[in-house]
Amino acid sequence: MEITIVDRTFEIDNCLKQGKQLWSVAPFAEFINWTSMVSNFLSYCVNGQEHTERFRVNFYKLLVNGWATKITPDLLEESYQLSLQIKKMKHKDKKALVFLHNWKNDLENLHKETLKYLKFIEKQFNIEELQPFFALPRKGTLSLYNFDDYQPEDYSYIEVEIITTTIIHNFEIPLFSDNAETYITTKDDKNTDSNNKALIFKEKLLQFISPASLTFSKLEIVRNRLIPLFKPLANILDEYNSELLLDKFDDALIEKIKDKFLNFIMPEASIIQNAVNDDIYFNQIKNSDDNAETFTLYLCVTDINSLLDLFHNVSKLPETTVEHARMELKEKLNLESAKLFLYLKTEKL
Amino acid sequence: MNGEHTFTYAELKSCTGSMEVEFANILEFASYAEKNKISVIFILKSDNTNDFLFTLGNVIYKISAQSYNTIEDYKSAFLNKFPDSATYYEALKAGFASFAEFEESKRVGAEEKETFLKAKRTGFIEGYEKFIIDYPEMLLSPHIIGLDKDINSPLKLYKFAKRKGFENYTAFSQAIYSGFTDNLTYSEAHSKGFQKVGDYLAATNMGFDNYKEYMDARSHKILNKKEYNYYLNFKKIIKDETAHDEYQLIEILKTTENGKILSTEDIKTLLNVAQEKFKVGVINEQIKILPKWYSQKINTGETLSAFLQNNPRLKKLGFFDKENETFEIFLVSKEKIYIDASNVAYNSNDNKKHKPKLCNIKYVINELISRNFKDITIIADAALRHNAEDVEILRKLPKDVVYIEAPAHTTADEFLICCAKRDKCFIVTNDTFKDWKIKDRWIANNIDFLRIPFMIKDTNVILAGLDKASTE
Repeated sequence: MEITIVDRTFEIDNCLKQGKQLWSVAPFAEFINWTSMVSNFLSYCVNGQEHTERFRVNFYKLLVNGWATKITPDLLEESYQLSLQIKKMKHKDKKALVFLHNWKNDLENLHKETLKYLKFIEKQFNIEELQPFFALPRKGTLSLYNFDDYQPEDYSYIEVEIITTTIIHNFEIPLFSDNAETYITTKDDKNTDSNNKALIFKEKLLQFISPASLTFSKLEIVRNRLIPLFKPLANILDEYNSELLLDKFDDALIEKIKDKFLNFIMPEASIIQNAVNDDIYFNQIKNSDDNAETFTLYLCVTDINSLLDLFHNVSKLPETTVEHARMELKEKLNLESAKLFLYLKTEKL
Repeated sequence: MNGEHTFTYAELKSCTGSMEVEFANILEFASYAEKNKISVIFILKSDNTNDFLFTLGNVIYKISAQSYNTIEDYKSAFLNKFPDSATYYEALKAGFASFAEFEESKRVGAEEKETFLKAKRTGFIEGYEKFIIDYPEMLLSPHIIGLDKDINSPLKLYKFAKRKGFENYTAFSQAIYSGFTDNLTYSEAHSKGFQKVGDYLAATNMGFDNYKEYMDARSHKILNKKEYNYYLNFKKIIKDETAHDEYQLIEILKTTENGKILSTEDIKTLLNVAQEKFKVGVINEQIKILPKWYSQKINTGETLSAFLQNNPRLKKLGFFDKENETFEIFLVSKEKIYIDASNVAYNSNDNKKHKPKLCNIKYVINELISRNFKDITIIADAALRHNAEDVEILRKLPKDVVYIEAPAHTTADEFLICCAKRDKCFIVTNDTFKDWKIKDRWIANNIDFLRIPFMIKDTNVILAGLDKASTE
């Protein structure tokens, strides 16, 4: 089974959610595609790439949005443009030199803040243990944005490609953060008009203690044990994704979905649930960590149109990106047909 | 073949030469052909067997082909001790040139040479002999999980070990004889100091990540890492003979609202609630009891009362009323303090023979300010200012210091005690309040705690007992 996480949100809380999403499927998923602002951030920092000033300013503009700082993205851009003008001047007066000096200091301070933020994110994610996973051939994929031109509202061809392939491929399943539940519930509550209601079928698939404190070697042991157990369920989900493409997603189909879940999906899920309950490393976390959270993965079905809306409303992908994906998918699939997706709900023990 | 001579083959339908010589040995046949520079070998096919033959002059030299396709094959099979062509070609297909190797590979279950050689090189073929003796017992062991049940050849052993991540038999045997069937798990366990799989599984399930901690926990009958963390936490904090329940009780009272009066029953209840998180389930989790490592000294009402009354740390937190069986939280202020003005002005031991000196009060105030007291109140009799010879000092007192005269019909002592009790403050005085102790039980029990005796010599002041206030 291949899990795809695409997320544009950048606030600290949401970054942490992205980390949890990643950990929630790391023990089961054969492959994980991860495309988020954080994955980009980490990837660039880990690779230690030299960046242009334009890139850095763009990047800091995104970051300061999420930080409690007086520096605004507009102010940063203004200062950057001014610095460019001053650099072009042949004869720089004292005032200009002072400005350039201060600008250099500002960039340096932002760099330090960025590294602090990175350390914080790394610590919260326990990301060091997941890094080798993304280095293993074909196990995990980090997709990168081009930050040189990047703006939060920008259309990204990478995201379009990832969304479309995830929806087209039967073996791929998108995973959303628990913002999905809030979105689904709110949408249901607000819309009294049944025609306008998002039709989403959801069922608790698995519940387990957060594996986010595992070391890489323990994660490998857990994966070696659980992935083969997950295979039959993955095959069922793969087949079911292709079946779902044949029908229009409506109330009548939901009855059939309930039956499918009850008789085929949940029995397989319970085998994995038992294995997880018996797993020594999950038990180790449960019996040692007072602060460990419980992860619940919900398996859901909705029509492709609504799924695209989730990418926009939950993962905060720009509307232009989602609409591009919609246009591309329209030529290949019936957007009223359905697709499976997952979302993660986290709770304190 | 030696590489210098190769034959070309030609199939014959029949041969009726006058003279035939039949060789018995393929090496001699090939050697004779080579010596005579024969390049074409004829193959004469018949129903049952083929013959290789060549002619020289009028003589036909031949040898039965024994179902070999070529002389080279026949020669190679002969040299490598293959019993027949079928075996030879079977071995050749699997990549074997030697019959001995082929035989051994069949015995160990290898179907191809490469696998056989790898199994041999990594020691599994040799190691299998020892392994197979212990294998039945391993299968029965409840700790060895994930061992295939059909290992009946060295190759199956090799394949199993390889699948489980082992590079060679030495590594595999070290792991399997410790009960581990998987190299990753073995490495993980080994790096944390575990030698036996039973210990590792039990420890990990209990939440432990290293052998030393696990064994320490076991020796204290601790059930899991969370409980062990509690145990370690207590061990780190409690450095003296204080029992765990005593420590917890002190912690409870430390966080209780200042001024609150608790009955011993209330205290017992609070302690029970606090102890709840340390309790472990017994008899199928039906009953919860405190673990063995949790030391208890407060077992009865008497031991509780004695503890509340005598523990030096509790004395800093409040007062125990033995008669009413209550504990009053009385945390003395570290910022506010009262000064018994007359007692200080007369420097107590003067017996009022000399005039009081208000400068003594000034010296005490200076000392208190240096001790970080920010709210200083002087309580005096109305007569003090009239008797003092240096009354102008009162005008020079620091702004924050309050000078109060006891109200009419009230003695300064009574007023002082009343204020100190209400505000939970120390009183700087050498007066022992003997008369008041007779009149009031609370004063009798507690006034000595609130009293800060002093000594003034020249301008120097010594205050005794300010450290009685709780610093925790």
